[in-house]
Amino acid sequence: MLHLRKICKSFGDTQVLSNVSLELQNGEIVCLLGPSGCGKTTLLRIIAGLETPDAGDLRFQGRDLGDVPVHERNFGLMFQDHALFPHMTVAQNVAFGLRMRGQERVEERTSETLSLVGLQAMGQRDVSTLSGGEQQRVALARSLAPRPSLLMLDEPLGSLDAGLRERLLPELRQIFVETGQTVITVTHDQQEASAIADRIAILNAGRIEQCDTPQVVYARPRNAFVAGFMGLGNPVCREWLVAQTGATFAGHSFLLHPAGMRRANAAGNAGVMLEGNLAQRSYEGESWRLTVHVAGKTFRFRLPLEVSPVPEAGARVRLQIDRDWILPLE
Amino acid sequence: MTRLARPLLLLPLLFLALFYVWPLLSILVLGLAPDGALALEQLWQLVSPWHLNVLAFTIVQALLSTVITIALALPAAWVCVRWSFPGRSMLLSLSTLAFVLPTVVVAAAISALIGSRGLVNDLLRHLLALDGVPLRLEGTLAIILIAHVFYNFAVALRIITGYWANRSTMHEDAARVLGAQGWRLWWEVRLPLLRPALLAAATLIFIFTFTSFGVIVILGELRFSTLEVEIYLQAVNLFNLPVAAGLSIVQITLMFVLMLVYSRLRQRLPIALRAAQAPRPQGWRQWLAVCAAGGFMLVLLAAPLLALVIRSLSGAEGLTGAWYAALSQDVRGSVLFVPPVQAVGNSLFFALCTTAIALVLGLLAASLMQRRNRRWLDPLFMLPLATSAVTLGFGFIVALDEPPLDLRASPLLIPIAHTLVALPFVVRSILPSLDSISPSLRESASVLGATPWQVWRQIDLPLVSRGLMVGAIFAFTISMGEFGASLFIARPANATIPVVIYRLLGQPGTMNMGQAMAMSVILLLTCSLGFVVIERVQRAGSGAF
Repeated sequence: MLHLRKICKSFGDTQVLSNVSLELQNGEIVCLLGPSGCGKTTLLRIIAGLETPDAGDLRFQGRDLGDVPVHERNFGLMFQDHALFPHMTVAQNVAFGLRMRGQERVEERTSETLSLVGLQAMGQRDVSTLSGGEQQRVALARSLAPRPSLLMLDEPLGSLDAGLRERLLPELRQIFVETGQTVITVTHDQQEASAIADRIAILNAGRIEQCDTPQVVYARPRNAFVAGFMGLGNPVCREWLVAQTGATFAGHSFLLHPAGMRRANAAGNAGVMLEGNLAQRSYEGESWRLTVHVAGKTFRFRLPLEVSPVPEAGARVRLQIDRDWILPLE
Repeated sequence: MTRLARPLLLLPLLFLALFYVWPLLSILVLGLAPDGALALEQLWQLVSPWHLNVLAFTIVQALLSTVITIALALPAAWVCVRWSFPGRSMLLSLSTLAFVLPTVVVAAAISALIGSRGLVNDLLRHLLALDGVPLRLEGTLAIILIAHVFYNFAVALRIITGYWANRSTMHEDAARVLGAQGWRLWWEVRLPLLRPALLAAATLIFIFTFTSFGVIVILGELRFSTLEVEIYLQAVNLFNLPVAAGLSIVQITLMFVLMLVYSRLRQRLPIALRAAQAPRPQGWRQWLAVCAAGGFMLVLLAAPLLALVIRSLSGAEGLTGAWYAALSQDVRGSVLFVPPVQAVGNSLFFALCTTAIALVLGLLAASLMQRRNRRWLDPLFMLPLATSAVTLGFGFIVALDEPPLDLRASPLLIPIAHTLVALPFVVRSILPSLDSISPSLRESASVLGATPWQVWRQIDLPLVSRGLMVGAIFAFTISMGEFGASLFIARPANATIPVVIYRLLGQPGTMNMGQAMAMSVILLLTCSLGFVVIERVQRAGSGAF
């Protein structure tokens, strides 16, 4: 449905996007994930038509968008600061896009969308009197009301506190799935991305490092950046791995995925063994979180509750890693 | 803005080029090279004893006005910063109102109070049973200085209180601990610390009094001539255009230099905050100081305005509305050519035209500044502030009276001149509200399907409406009160209120005096109303949006 091919963009001397290619299917929810300054907002603005790419191809349903001005693209874009019009009521904000596009049954669609986001009673309120969460919902309703063929959200939950975010995330996804909305959302938070998206595209310094389902990105990070950004730890090189384990490996850089780490017990001998110092342990209810130093490297992983006690910090521990979870990186 | 509308943005620049730069250049050519070749000897003719006298008097009266105003405003500012007392904000507002009043109203008010036909003379006659005119001040330097102090008191008061309110008392406390007391504290600490504010206030007051025109022609009875007055007399009465042009060049040059100095000095001033919380006065000494300063301000600022209102309502047999009724009659026919009421109509018409033109141009100029390099555009649109109204008016007669631009007969000539005077204020009113619109609002609207024109109409326009309203009131009141340029270019049939007041005040007799007072009151009320609305809107504006 949406095809981006080799999009490039610079501001002055700074290359913000280089050769970004991405494809979206109808009804798909894709999340652009990356640290701030990686170019994800610029990519959204290019798709919306607010910026022009220096090079590359942008097509929607086969049609080249190059000459289509912003207001004729029929996309929706929810801004990070929500950008609610301060001189209009909640309902007027939501109705704006409907009026601009000359759609019919404006009032009906407005109240319908307001109910969808749970604000049916707030239509006549002044937007300055709303709480942060309510403003976010109004902004969402305003973007959804004209039924955009593509909805883009720039850090939609960025300005909200953690509790509210956790509540709204599944709600957001549900609204999109129910309405069959095609969505591109942008965030720097990998949990938010995993909770909302069908596919995650990880951006770093203007290029897409990996684009896969959240499960694949998490279980099979393609390179060190993705692994680090997903909070999976730092890679080790082959020499280190061979020296520590005595086993042989193909490749030159590896991630020891935390999902494959266990404390070695006397019986089990499967997998690869490592020995190190327990630097830190913190109790998290259903599991322990352990930080272990092994020959200059640090590993963090969760340890499910066991009957046998976990050693005190400072103790020597032996770790056992599934071979399947030793992932070669690019 | 659509591609079609983009050239519209250049309209304000075109306006400045045609009606500001072109007239000023015409004056330059007339003064320096009337026959095409550079002829400086004409300029040298100005170095006659008479013109040097004019220049000297212009400077001396401006210096005197500046020194007296600051000397009087300094203690008042001290009291207003140091203590909070009932009526403080009313006094501050009153001083600002005096500053925004048209010069003819100021002149009329001063003359209603202490002029030979004024209240004080009436009182003296009654109380002391004197005959004639016991106190004759018209045509003296004293009455000119009094009017200038009345007019510029707010300038000194605002700048000094703003500066003081923003400073900590740290240095003063340190000096006090070190043993400084009384006058030494003032002389060695307080005043030196205040120097940037004093310099800025002094420069601004000097600029205003240096170009004073209305006050001097009305109250000075043409016994005194400043550069402004001399330009007017040479051009209109003697029709000696080259000399007027030479004087204008001197005036324009000096004004640019002064404005440059002022803008440098102003950069050193902090942005005025609202006056901090001050304690109530304590003990009889402090109350005495407050009462003295407050009483002085009340007499200086309120008495002339009160006298004006009283004079407009009092006849030989006490209270009367006769002067207002007489405005519709053209009693002296030949003097005014039009009944005064028609001048009210003229003024309203011109003010409405000015408001419309200035709003459109101001909005376009502000939009242009948002898009293009503001460092050059901002000073450019402020330029008319650095040019006196009389030189503008003179430039209009020199430049716009022959093809390709012959506007002498056009009824738009006066609104155009007024727009030039008002444009800096209008731009300054609109720009902040335009700046406060976050770009994401416009982008949101266009993503939602609004065309560039719709974005402007639905987002920009409603959000700048507050600034537009302030700008509109500025344009309207400035146009209603503008005197210098109007006197130059208004034809007898389209005389404005200030021009008619000037003519009436120059005529003997109680009828003319009464009518002048009545018209001044009309102008006073119009400007006060505008002033009150602007203060309200600006105060309310700080919270919303």
